[in-house]
Amino acid sequence: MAKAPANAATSALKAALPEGIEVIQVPATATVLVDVNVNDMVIPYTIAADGSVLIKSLVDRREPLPLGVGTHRLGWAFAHAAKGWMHELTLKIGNTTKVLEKKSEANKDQDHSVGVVFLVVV
Amino acid sequence: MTTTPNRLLRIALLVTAGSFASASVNAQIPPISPVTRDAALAAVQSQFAGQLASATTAAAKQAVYRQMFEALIRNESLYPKLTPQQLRQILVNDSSAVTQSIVDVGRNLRESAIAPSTNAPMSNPATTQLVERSASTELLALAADLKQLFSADGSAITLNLNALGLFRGSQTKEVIAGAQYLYFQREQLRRLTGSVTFGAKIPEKEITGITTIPDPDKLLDAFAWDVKFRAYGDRDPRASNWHELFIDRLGTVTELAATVPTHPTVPLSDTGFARTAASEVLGDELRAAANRVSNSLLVSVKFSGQHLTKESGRNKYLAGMMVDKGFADVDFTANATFSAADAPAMDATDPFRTRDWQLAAALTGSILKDALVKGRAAELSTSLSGIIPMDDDGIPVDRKRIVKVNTTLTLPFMDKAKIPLSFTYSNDPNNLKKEKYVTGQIGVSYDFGAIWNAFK
Repeated sequence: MAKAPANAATSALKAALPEGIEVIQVPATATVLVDVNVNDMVIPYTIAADGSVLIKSLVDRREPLPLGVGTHRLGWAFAHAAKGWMHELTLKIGNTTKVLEKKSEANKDQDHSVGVVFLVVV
Repeated sequence: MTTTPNRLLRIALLVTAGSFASASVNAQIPPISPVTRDAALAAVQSQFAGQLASATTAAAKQAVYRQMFEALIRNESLYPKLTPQQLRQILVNDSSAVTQSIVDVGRNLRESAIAPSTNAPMSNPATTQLVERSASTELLALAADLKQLFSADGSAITLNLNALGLFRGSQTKEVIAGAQYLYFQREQLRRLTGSVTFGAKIPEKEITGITTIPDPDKLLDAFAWDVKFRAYGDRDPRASNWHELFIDRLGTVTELAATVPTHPTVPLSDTGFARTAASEVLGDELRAAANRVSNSLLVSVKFSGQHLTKESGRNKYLAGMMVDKGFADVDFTANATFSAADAPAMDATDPFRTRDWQLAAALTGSILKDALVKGRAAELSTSLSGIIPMDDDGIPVDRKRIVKVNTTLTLPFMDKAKIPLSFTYSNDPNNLKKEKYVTGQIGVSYDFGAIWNAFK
C-alpha cells in the first residue's frame, strides 16, 4: 500500500511531540489489528489505547483496534522474568504491517519496555 | 526532551479543533481483567498538580511524573489481590485465548539463584563439591563428570532424573499455553527428583571414612543413587508461589505503565514524560521482584545409597537435608547428612558399620556481572565441610574429624559454558587426592574443558 501523504494534523503533531514518539497516519477506512507474539511471559503484558486496556495477557494475541477519526494514543508495557523471553508487537493497518517493537533476551535487550505511538485517523 | 510554548500551542489547537478522539475502545473483554484506575489516577494528578505546574524544565517535569507514578502504584486499592484459585483460573482463561504457539519455557534470575544441582555432591563420592543445592535439574539432564575436577579417576557419570519427565509426552501437546499454565499442570511432580551415578571408581576411604585400613586408596567400582524431595519453596518464576507477585502485583504495574501515558487526562505534550516515568518505575519493581524470588527459602530432603558393584555386602546409606536462602546478592546453602557405611573386616575383627554426621555450609554469590561475558556473571563460592564420626566402642579404628574449606570461582565462557577454578584446604591431606594439584594441605582443581566444548 502506498504511503499516504501526511495531512496537516499529522504533521503538526509530529512537530509537537518529543523525539522517540512516532506518529502513524491511519486511513479511516482501514482495518487496524494489534498483533502480539510473546515467549515465556510470567508477567501479563498490556496493550492500551487512549487509557483503556485493549489486551492484557501472557500469551500470543491478536485484537482489532476500532478507531474513530482523530488522534489516538496506543501504549504498551512488557516486563520479563523468565529465561528465553521475547516479545514482538505489530500493527496491521489494512495490508500494511508495521513492527512497533521487537525485543528479546537473545538480543540482550532490556527486560522491560514501555512505549507509545500516536495514531492519527484521517 | 524539550517543551516549547510553540509546541504546546500547536497541541492545544489540535485538541480544541476536535482532533482528539473519544477514549472509548470497544475491544473484547480481556481474560485478565484490567484494574479500575481512573479515580486513583485522578487523585494522584490532583495531588501533584501544583508541582507539575511549577516544573519549568523538562528534568523537573520528568521528576514529578516519576513521583506521580510511584504514588499511583503505592495505592493498594489498585491491586486485585486475587485468591490462588482465581489466579489459576486467569491462567487457564488466558491460555485459551492464545492465537499462536509459544516454545520452550525457561527461567530468568541470577545464575546462582536457581540453586540447581547436577552432580549430586551429597551422595556422589566422586565429586569435589562440598555442598549440594536444594533445587534440581529440569526433566532429564546428563552431567558427565569426565574431568579430573569431579572424579577420583575421571569416569563418573551422573544421570539426573525428574519425575516430571515421565509425563513430558503429554505435556508437549499443550505448548500453545502460557508458561505458568504449563508449569502448574505438573507442579507437585517437579518437587521429586533423583539421580543415578555410575562408573565411579572411588577410594575405599571415601565410603568408610577410614584412612588407616590396609589399602585406603584402593579404587573400587561404585554405583550410587539418590531421591530428592523439595519440601519447601520454589525459585522458578513460573511456580504458583509467585502468581500473586507476577500476575497480580507486577501485572497491575505493567498495566498502569501502558495505560497512564495514553490516558486522556495526561496532556499529549506530557506523553514522553509519563512513558519514561512508567518505564523507570516498572524496571525498579521488576528488579525488586526478581530479588524476592532469588532470595526465597528452599528446603529439600534427600535419601541415597552407594553400593560397591564388585564387593558384596558393602553399602553406604545416607539421609540429608539441604537449605538454601538468599541474602541480597549472596546465596547461603547448608547441608546436614547422616550416613552409615559397611566397612570390611580388618585384622582380628568382623565387618563393622561406621556412622558419620557431615555438616557443610556455603556462600555463593554472583560477581563481575557483564565483565567477562555480557549478560552473565562469575560465581564465587566459599564452603566449609566437617565430618564427625559417631563411632561406638565396637569400631576397631580411631577416626578423626575431617575439616575441608573450599573456594570455587566459576567463570562464564561464551553464552552457556562455565570454567570452574577450585582451591581446597583440609586438615587431612589424604582427602585432597581428588584435586588436580596438591601441595601440603591445599589442593587446586580446574576444568578448561568447557572452552573446547564451546567450540565443538
